[in-house]
Amino acid sequence: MKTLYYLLILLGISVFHSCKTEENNPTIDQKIDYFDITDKPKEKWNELDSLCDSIYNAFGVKVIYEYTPRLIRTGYAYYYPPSYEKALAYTRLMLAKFWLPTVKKAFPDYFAREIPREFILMGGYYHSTQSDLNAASGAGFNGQFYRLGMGGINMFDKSDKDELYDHLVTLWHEHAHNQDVKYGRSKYFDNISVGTYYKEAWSTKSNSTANKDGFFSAYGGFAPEEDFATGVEYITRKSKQEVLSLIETNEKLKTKYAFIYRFYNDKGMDLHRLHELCDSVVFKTTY
Amino acid sequence: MKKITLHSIVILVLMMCNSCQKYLDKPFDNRLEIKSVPDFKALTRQAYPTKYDIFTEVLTDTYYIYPALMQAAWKPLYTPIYLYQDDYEYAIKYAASPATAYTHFYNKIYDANYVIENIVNASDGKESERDVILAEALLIRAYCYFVLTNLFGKHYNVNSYETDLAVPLVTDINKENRPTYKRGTVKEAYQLIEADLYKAISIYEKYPALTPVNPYQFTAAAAYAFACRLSLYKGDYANTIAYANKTFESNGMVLRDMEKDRDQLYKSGWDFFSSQLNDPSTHPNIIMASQSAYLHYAIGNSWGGFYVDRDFRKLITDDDYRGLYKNNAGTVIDDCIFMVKNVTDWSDTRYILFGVEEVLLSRAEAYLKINTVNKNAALKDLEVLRKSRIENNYQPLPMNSTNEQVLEEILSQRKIELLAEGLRWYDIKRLGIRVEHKMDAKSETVDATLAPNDPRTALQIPVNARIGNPELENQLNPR
Repeated sequence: MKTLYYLLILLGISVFHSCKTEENNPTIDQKIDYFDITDKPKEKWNELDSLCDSIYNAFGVKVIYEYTPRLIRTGYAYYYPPSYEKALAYTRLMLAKFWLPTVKKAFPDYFAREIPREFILMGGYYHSTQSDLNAASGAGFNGQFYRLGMGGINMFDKSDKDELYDHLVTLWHEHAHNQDVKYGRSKYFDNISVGTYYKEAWSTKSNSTANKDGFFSAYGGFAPEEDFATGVEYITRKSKQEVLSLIETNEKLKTKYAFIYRFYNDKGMDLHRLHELCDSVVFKTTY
Repeated sequence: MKKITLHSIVILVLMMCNSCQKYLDKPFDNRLEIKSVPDFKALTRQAYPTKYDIFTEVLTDTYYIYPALMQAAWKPLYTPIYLYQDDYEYAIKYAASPATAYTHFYNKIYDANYVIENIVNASDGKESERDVILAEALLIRAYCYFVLTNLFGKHYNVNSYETDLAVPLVTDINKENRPTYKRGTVKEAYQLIEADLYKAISIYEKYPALTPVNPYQFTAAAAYAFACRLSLYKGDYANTIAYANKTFESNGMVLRDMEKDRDQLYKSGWDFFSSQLNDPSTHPNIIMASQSAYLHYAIGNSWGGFYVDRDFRKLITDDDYRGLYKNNAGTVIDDCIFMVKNVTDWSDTRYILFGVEEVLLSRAEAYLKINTVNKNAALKDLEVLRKSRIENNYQPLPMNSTNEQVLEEILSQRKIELLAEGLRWYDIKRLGIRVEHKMDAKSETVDATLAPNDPRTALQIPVNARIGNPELENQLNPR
């Protein structure tokens, strides 16, 4: 009988030992939504939590900056959360000043229907063994209906206005992916440049070559979904005059411009007006 | 009264006997009896196999796995196969795998065997008609055994083919309840395949006016192309050249017009392009095609999980028309490319079983490997293909290129041209190419290596086959 007890104790110890080893090698549980939001008790809130709460009350957008780093998607690409200080500075300026109030005021109907319900702050992302801090590191994540994510938060620097502007128009590029998934850009759009996409060779092309080939940028030549998003980004980034000048040089660009502009306008968003607002909040206000 | 009763019983018994006689004249379950020539023709058409061996692309050096984009249902099937493991999920019956290929080709062999065994008893038709149907069935059986032998046996090697195991060689319709079969050797398999193939060719040559011309059937050209492939795999280069020549004499030598394909894509978009790509009526270069349910799941879709090797795809340059087939999967971060050579939805699609380009490249290779090397002829074949594939800046190989350089280019073109068509695996076997597979393409870690002449080049006999035929348990491929 004693022997049996000893065996049971040994078995118990070995079970605990195994559990510990398992913890050192966590695996992604496909059933868990790692963005499942657990509300922190109010007494534990920090300044950013309070700010996020204000944003949620004012705009209905849940800002998420804390999450388990290794998830967002399976496989070898995953994103990690931002540092607290960077997340706070970013949320104060980019979200609470530049993005949300401007759109809500200028395009209330569009805002009500199309602004994502969750916004994920990403410090950067790992792709296999590589790490990246680009703003557009939300790529691969934004093909969703109601969530938007932006990378590069750990590189946030409010003194670099050009970077801020680039981030803001990139945000609209990423949001275009949301809109694309939600409504579908249609085969009509895809067939404008069908068969001529650069695919993996996009990075070997210059923007001027891409313009001649009917893309708003070299990256737009990667695939139809990026063609659509870079179109939105270009119209948001450039003045109306610059956009109209470019599309006059190429019939495909003209067709894509007409499609994209109407796609947004029908939903209550004038992309040229959006450009003016982005330009104004970044370059013509003090912060 | 007794007499009446007795007479009634006798009459009744006589009537019953009469009924039995008639009853036994008919099949007990109203099944169709295959007796006439049209019946045998129909059965032969039904016996044609399709491209169930296309899954072998995932075994090659041209594809890598990218689990993040793979349809979850395929993971237990294709991940072990990619790692050269035998314990894949054999019970997934709606996807191409060693298990389903085994079943599929044996089903077709059964039908072919029925025709071969019984066509002589056809109730009508001329002898010539019956012979041509026999020839077609022989070609089907030969083709099925050729694929099965090359899937589950080692590559043809005269030094070991007397002991290397192929598959059970069943040549008749089983008359027992559950017969069991032992595996034949690679030598025996090739003997059977060649006997069937060359007998069929001789019948076709005897009755040229009666041979099929439908591109979904074995035409004379398709039979020659088959003989060309078989000869190449055997290392019989004289016959490789001879049967390539016969193929072109019979079929002409017209390569796929890729400029026309490209214009079709520009005009109609991907859906129509992919559905028409191997349509024999618009692509007369196709020697033989099959139309069937979607089998190229793993390699031919954004969610398949296997994508074109990143180093290899660089060989398909911007100027190369074949880059047209490339399509993105996932996002720019994923950096995954698959080839659209078949439909990308769930509809039926057309697969090429033999094509002109393969025959041309086989002949070019043979010109360099035959004892009396003919480099100029090899270069000529090679450049016919290259010229038709390079849109701008076409530069022929210099005439003073060494034989090794020309051969290297021929094999490189073969790899590009036949990509996603299910033939690369057989080249890896016959050329002794080493393959390394990683679970993470960007990692330094190699998860599975296939050495030249590796025992695993003979895929293991599938579990489902062993359940039905326990003899095979004692004849498994060594590991």
